[in-house]
Amino acid sequence: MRKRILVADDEASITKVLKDRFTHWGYEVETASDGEETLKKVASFKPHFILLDVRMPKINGIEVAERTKKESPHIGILVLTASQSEDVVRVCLEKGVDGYMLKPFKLQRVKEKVEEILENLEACSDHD
Amino acid sequence: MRNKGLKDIKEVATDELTQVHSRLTYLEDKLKKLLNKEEKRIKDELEITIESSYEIIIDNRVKTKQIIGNKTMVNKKYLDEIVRKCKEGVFVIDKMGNIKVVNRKIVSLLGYKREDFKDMTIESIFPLLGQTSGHPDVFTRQMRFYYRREEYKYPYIERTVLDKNKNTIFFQVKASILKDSNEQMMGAVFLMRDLSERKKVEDEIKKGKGKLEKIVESTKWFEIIERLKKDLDEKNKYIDQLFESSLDGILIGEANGIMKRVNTAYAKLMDYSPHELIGKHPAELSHLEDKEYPTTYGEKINGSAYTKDFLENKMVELITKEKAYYEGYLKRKDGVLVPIWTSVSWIRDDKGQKMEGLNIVRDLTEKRKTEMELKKAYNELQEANEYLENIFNNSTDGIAVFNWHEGGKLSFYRINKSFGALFGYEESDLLGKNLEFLLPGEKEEYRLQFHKFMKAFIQERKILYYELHLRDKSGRIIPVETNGGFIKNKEGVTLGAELIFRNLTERKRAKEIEMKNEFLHEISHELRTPLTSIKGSLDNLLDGIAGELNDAQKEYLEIMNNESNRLVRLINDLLELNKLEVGSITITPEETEYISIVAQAVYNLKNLAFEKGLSIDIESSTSQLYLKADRDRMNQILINLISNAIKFTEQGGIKVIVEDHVDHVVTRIVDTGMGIPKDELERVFDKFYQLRRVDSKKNKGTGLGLTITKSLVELHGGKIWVESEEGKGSEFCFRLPKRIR
Repeated sequence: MRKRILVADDEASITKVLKDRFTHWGYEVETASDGEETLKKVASFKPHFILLDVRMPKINGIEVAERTKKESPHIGILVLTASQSEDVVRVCLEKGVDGYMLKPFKLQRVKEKVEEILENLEACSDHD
Repeated sequence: MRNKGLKDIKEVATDELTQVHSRLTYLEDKLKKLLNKEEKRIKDELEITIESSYEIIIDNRVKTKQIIGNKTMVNKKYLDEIVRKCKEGVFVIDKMGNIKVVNRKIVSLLGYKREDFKDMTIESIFPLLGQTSGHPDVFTRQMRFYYRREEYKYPYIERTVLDKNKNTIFFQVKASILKDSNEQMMGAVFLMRDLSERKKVEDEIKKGKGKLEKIVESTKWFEIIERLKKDLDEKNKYIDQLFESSLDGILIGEANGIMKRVNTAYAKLMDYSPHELIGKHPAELSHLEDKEYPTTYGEKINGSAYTKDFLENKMVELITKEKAYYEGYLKRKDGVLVPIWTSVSWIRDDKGQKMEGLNIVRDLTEKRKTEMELKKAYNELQEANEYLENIFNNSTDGIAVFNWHEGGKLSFYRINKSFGALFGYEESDLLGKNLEFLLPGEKEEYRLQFHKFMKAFIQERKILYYELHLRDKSGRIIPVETNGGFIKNKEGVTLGAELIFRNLTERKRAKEIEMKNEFLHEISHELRTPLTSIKGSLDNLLDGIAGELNDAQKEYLEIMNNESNRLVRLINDLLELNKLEVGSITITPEETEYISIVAQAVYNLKNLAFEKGLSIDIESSTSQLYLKADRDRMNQILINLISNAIKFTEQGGIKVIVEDHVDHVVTRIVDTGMGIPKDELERVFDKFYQLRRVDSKKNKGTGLGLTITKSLVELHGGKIWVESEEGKGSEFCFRLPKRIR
């Protein structure tokens, strides 16, 4: 079964780069351009994983992460942000996101991280 | 006693007065009778002398007696008969003063014998006439004068005569001149009437009267004495009243200090009755021992200073003085001390000798209480003052107190330490100067700001926070925030103002830093976002997602990729450097083994060197070296310097030398690279300084690496420097203290 990844970023160019590459790597990819849309897509698309921007219109990434993790803790979330603020990192981790990467990133590194998180999550759910 | 004596004397005097008075009455009666008798005798028995004028004319032609005109004419025979028969004493003298005839009576009255008169003259009987005998003219003249003077006025003269035994006998004398029928003076007849008895009575009356006068006089004295006594009693009573009504204690003492009399106030002061005190010595009653005594005003007093000796000596000292004052304590009956003030003066006798000492003693309890309250209040005030002074001086804000002048000028009155430090002035520099003294004149903006403050604060009395820019002693502009208030007296008149100045430099700087940080973060964010798309796209292209690429295309894309990496590094370095510059990077030094950090850094960069065919070695005199440092930052420093060395070296190798010194470590990164031109050595650590380099498409520098490295070394309390010779290589050295101070 192909893993579903939701790419959430208000920068269309970024979502395109990520979508193209992860599709290439065999994932089923959906995109969202704001927080509200992300939450809707989480409900409809039921992704295994979300690549989540922080600074987004309507609802920001941190709130999206918080709500998603509350309802579906098994969905892996990797935050991709251009902000170097330590506060952002801290808050993200508090809200239960699984990882954090500073923009710009190497796509290969993102893939490795996604796979690592997914393995961890599966291992955890197996135990449960 | 005196009173009784006086009364007796008075009684005696009164008795005597009665006696004398009755005696006098008797005598006066007797005198009257004697005089009557005399008068009668003269009338009956010697008509001749009564009727005659002063002369008798003897004429033999006259039978017995014949009065012609106012002249009595007698014959010698008749005269002799009269003389003989006369019961009064009679004698006759011739014109020489010789006594010629005497009768029996005169002989017996004067105590002579009849024969004695033969040789006697008138002077023998009347010595006063004196030596006139033997010169008839003188005697006559004398006699005439005598008669003219005396007899015209009085029919008789009364005078004393000496008898044979030289006793004085009082006689009434009547003399008549004897003339012959030719009116020639022949002599004189003297009629002598003995007045002894009458004289005696008269003398006694005179004496009695004198006595009477004396007695009467003395009774007058009784009244005076009585009056004086009454006055004296009243005065004594008045003095007693004065003595007792005094609120101050009064003590009258013997010259040796023993108490003789005290008033109620004094006794009350010591809580004794007056009779308990009299006869005692003050030192005996009020001396103290070496212990604590309570006092009437609340304080406790140690008695060690008021020994008996001390008090006795004090008394002696006071006694020797004319007047003296002393402040001390009286010991009450119950042992409580009464603080007193006393004055000592002297009551003296007529000769000026000191008789009694007069002490006025005043109770100082109320005064002492007031003093204690005042002292307490003063101490409290002092404390409050110190407290305020402390607040004033210890305030980290600058505080200045100003005097108020008409027209709203404020002149410096006092400044606290912080104010002095803030503006670099001593208090004396500013005293009396106006606040405007600190106003920088050159900038219109600051002047307007100041005038706005003056208007709002001084004129409108708005107590707000005002921002001002003032100038310190060195001329630097200090942004301050000020507020304050006015100092007014009870009547509400403004005396001055106090202003608190807070330095805004730090706050302003912090604000600036915060804004700069925010700005840099924003820039960083905004740069990263497009870079993410660019790099992602390049990633996709290079990895063939969009189809196969030829070599030329690949090369261009590589360049793009490298340069976007460099941009990312630049952004990272800029943020890092900014953090170092504003001091928001703090290091966490811990005990660290340094050689292992060096080894790790070399290990990490080994491949980079080997790729360029360079050797890389560590030289160290020791295999273990401990110092206090931040491990990550140490690593960063070493990576920076070693990778720099690799970057600028094409042949040879890199040596990392660690020198262990007593309290510091020197690390040298020595390369055999291109070196640095001498004139550029100084600028190596400057921002964006980059050596021009021809080679390499990869890993281009940002120009910030050495600047960051220098900051990190300095953050550890160390020092970094470079030695280099162009074409031969460079040596970057840094020294780290083993213990960061």
